Amino acid sequence: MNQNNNRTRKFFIILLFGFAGLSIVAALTTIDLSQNNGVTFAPLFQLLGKAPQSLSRSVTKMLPIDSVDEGELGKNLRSYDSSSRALNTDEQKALTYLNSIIKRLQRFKTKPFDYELRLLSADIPNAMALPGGVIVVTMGLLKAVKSESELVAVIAHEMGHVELSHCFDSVKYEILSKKITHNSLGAIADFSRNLLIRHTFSKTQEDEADNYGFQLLTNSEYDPAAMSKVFIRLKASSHQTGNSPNPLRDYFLSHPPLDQRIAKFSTEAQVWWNGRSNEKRYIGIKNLEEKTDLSIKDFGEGEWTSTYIAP
Amino acid sequence: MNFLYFIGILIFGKKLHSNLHRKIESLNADLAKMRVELSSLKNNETKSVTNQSATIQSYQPANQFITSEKTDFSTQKTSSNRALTENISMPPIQQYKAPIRHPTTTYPKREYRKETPKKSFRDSEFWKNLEVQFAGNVTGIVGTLAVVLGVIFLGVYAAIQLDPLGRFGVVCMFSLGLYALYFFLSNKTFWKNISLWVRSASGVIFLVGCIGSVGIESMKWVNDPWIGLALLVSGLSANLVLGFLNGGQIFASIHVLFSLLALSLVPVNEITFSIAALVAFVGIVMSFKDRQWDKHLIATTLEFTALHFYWIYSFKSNNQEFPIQSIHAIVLCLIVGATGLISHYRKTYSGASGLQQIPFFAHVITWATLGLNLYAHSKGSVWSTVFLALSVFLSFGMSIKAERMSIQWLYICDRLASLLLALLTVISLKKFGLSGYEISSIAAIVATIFLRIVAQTFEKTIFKISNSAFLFSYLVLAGHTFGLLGESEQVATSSLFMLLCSFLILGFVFPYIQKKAEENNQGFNFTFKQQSYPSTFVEIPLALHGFFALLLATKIKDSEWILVLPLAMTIYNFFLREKLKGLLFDFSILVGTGMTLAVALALILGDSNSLISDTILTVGMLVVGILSFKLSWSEHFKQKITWFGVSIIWLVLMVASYVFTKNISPALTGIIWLLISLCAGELKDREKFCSSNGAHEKSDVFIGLFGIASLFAFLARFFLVDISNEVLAFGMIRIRLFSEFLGLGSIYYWLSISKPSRSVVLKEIVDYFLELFLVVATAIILFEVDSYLHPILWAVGTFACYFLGKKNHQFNRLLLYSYLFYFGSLFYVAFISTTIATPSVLLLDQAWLMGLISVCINTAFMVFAHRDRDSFAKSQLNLPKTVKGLSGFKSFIEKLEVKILLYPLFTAIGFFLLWSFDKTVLSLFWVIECFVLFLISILMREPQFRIVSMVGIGLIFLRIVFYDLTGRDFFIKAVVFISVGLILIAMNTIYNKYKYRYESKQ
Repeated sequence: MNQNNNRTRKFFIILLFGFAGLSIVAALTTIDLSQNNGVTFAPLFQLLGKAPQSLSRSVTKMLPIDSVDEGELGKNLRSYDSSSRALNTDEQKALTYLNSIIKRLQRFKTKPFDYELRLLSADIPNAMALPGGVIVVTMGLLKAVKSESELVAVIAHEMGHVELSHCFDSVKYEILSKKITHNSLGAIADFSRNLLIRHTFSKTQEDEADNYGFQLLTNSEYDPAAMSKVFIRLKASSHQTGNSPNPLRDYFLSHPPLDQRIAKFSTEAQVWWNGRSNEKRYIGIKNLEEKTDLSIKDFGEGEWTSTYIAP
Repeated sequence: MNFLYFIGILIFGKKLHSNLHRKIESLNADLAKMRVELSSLKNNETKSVTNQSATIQSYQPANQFITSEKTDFSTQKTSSNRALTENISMPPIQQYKAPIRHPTTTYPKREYRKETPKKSFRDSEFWKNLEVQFAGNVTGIVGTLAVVLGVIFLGVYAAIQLDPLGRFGVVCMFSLGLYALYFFLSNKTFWKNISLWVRSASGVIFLVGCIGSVGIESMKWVNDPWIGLALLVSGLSANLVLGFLNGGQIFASIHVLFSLLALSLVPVNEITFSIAALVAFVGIVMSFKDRQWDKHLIATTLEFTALHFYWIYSFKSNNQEFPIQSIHAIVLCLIVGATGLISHYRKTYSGASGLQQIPFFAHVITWATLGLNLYAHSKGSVWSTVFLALSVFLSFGMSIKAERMSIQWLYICDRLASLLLALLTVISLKKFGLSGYEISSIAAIVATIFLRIVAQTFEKTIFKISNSAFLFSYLVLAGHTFGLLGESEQVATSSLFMLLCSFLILGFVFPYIQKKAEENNQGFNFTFKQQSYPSTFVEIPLALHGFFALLLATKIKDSEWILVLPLAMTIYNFFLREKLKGLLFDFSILVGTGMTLAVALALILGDSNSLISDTILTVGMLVVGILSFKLSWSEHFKQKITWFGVSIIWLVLMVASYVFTKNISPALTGIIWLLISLCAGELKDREKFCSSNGAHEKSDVFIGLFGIASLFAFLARFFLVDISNEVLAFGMIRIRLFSEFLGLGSIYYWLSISKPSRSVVLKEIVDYFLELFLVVATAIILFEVDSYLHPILWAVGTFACYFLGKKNHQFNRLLLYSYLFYFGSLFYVAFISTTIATPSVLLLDQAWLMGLISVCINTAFMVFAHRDRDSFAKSQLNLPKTVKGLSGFKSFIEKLEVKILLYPLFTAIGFFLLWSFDKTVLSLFWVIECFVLFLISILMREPQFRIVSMVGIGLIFLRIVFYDLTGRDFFIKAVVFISVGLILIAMNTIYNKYKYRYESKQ
């Protein structure tokens, strides 16, 4: 019996050391100094954020509200936004372009309401999702991205927030209170919740939305590498710095660090392309320039790629 | 005006004279009366002896008293005192009274009958000494001064009345007059002492006359320099001779003082300074032969120094160069100083034990004034260093002489002087272009050598002072080292070389010094654990050399190989410690090496270093660690202190593996750390390091602890760094997956494969590795696997835990954890899975499908766990101390049996169905769920399940009636109703068929 144990022990040790050797060899094949692996607490907080997020979701589930109620809230938001201001010709064109894109992407939705894009004439490249399928995009974002696929990546990310009920989760008490006619109470409850605990899992939600966006890209006609490219554009315009370890900063970050997102989705795209030699994906640089959706015009071979193009 | 002054003086003198005359007359009258009384007393005594012979015979002592009084009048007071004590016991004598007694005399009124006379203040030693000093010295000094003042006044008068030559003549005559008075008084016993002062005054007055003739404007009559010189020399000679002849050091000091004061009045040149030096020289020489004129020596050397500096100052204030050539002045100062110093090397001082304060201070002051005088002429010449160096040897040689002459205080003084001179010599090396650091290094070396020499003879005081000087010199060196670090310029290699020299010398002499200190039980004492240890503290600088050398090496950019030196110093210390066991050395080595390690690690971690320097530091510190491990025997603790060596090796390996791999692949660091952990795990089991081998006490424990620390370091790095590493290995697998699997494998290794440690701490830590494994594995799954797949993984985890817990008794608490996974999985299925949206139309990408699979696996687990319930109940859970509370959870599970499995499962399924599927078909699914529960109730003969399923179906039925009927889709409605109806029928049939099973159970 002891002899058997010793054998098992030796076997396991040899296996472990062998695997360690293999790991070293594997690591030696990955000499890529472009990846800056500094110390960051963001992934850890992202991981830890899963627990409070799950709890928050469970609470949402238990409330007598659902996506239909969220859709109703979305309708109200749309009516409010429509009355705000008139758009110029370029903006109108851009808005039409954006809505034609979202129309195509709606085939992936599970929520019982339609999506609608709104345009904000701000120079800062940004986008945000509101409950009920309203996605707001700034003019700055349209200037920052370089192709339609990149724009789709952003919209897909925002769709992810809606589809994964992040938006709904953040206004659930308001929706609930509207049902029982105590508006202000619900708004206060949501505000308090968002203020106190949202940051504990906001990075987790952003990561989920990123994943959703990437999956959407892979299931669409567009190049999955667009996801990491968008983050590169955002990084260029945001000048995000701070490689030094700072737990407090990382805790209060609303999004995962852009470096991390770039690295993650570059690799994801690379892996995706690895097994798909016959695949062709659209980039759509001209589509963006001319604000013409792929469904309206395909700009030909130059806009299609069949390999992974590193960002 | 001057005339008036003179008249005033004459009147004052006359009045003083008449007063003195009256006093003398009164004293003479008293004396005469006393003589008369004495003679009458003698007559009475004779009568008494004749008339009362019988009585007197019996009181012989009284007779002796009388005889004594008769024989020596001068000792009357003493004899009377004796009689006072004797009369106390002689009552008949009390009757004796002098028949002739003058009523005014106080003598007979003495209180002889006092039985216990009180000692008055006047009888105290203090008062007596005061009287002696005042009467013996102060009066003489003041008197002489008064005479001199008088002569000065006379001089003033003469200056008015006569020409300079005439004035000189008056002064000389006055001097001669005083000298004649001396002759007159010296023959009288009472005036003898006063006569000496008179003679001194005559000498001083003559000197004043001579000085005035040469240098004081109103008295100057000599213009020829040679005659002036002759006159000056004659005045000084007369003055000094008289001082010598008077025979007391006070006279000598006064004459030297006046001679030097007089010289301060004449114009300064080489000759007068030479004369001043000669005067001082003669003044010192006066004290030779058998005299111990240390106060005089102090006075003379101080006076000469003061005069010397006065001249220098007066010339400098006139922006003139000191006229005396430096070498000339130096030679003269040397002569005076050396004479003063030599004056102590005489037999008269030998044999005295202990420290004689006044001679000691005289010698110290002589050394100090000599040093000051010479320093005043220092012009930065390199020769001064040579002379200083020579004086070191000279003073050291003199100290040997003093030792041979058995003059202990002189020996101490010269030894310390040689130390001081040696340090000054070192400081003077600045002229040769040496840096402050190099000078302080040399000073430290000199202090070390001196301590070694001092240790040879081992005189307690010198040793302690030298030891303090040694420590101070190293403190200065340390300060210099830190100062160099703050400078922007790089440090010269020579600085490190100097430090190496000091280390080598210190290392060489330390054993001897330590041995001597121990032999003599000397040095400083420090206390550790209430026990006192004598030590020289030499260990501290010795042990810190490596640290300081490394600090310096960081500022030397010439070559990376320079780093070898500090490491070699650190290594050498370990060999030295093996040779010399000492508690302080143990501590010093720990501190010194620890500081060296800290600097080395900081350097390795820094970005400014080259690969070669990092390699040298790493290899060097590893050698240090190995030696620290091997040569770690502590005499005081009677065991090897291995933890330090193990710590060094571990820290260096950890840091080096990070530094050397970070530029190759970030993932490599963590993998290497895990390898270190595994190697430590294997090493700790080796016979050599086990506790059974007393030489390496507890080393296996430390190796084990550091192995575990490596694992935790990996985990920390993994979650802070590696987890965001997205690089692909072999072009397809994320490199972090290798780290994750290897990390889990390593945890498992420590948990199960590594041999159990004898250390309780280690054992307790490893006890929690099962929980650590589960937490890490869960975290990795959460991070790596898409969330829609999680329910399946948790369900698989449930099974895995259950089977592993059953198989391995050591880990049977996994049985409990399987339940936790089970509930977690159900919660996930119920609440989380249903919120997961995937932008895909593929069935395999759907979260609900994964939820469904998870439900199936969990159902299988429920059945399996229920069947295995007896085995679970029997198992004694092996729980770590702090999670013993989980045994209550086990009891809870046992108590509820299958209910705890089934109800959560069916509730979760209910929610899952609610939130995953269309509400129109929900009633159908729920009915199916209740039907399955019903079937289970039959299979398990559990009536409670049946009741629950029936109640459930009843509620669903109500839903169908009030909700589903309102639906618009008739097809769906039809399907739901038909299906539900069929299920209910099936239930009814089955129930009727198998109801006996419930009855039999009941």
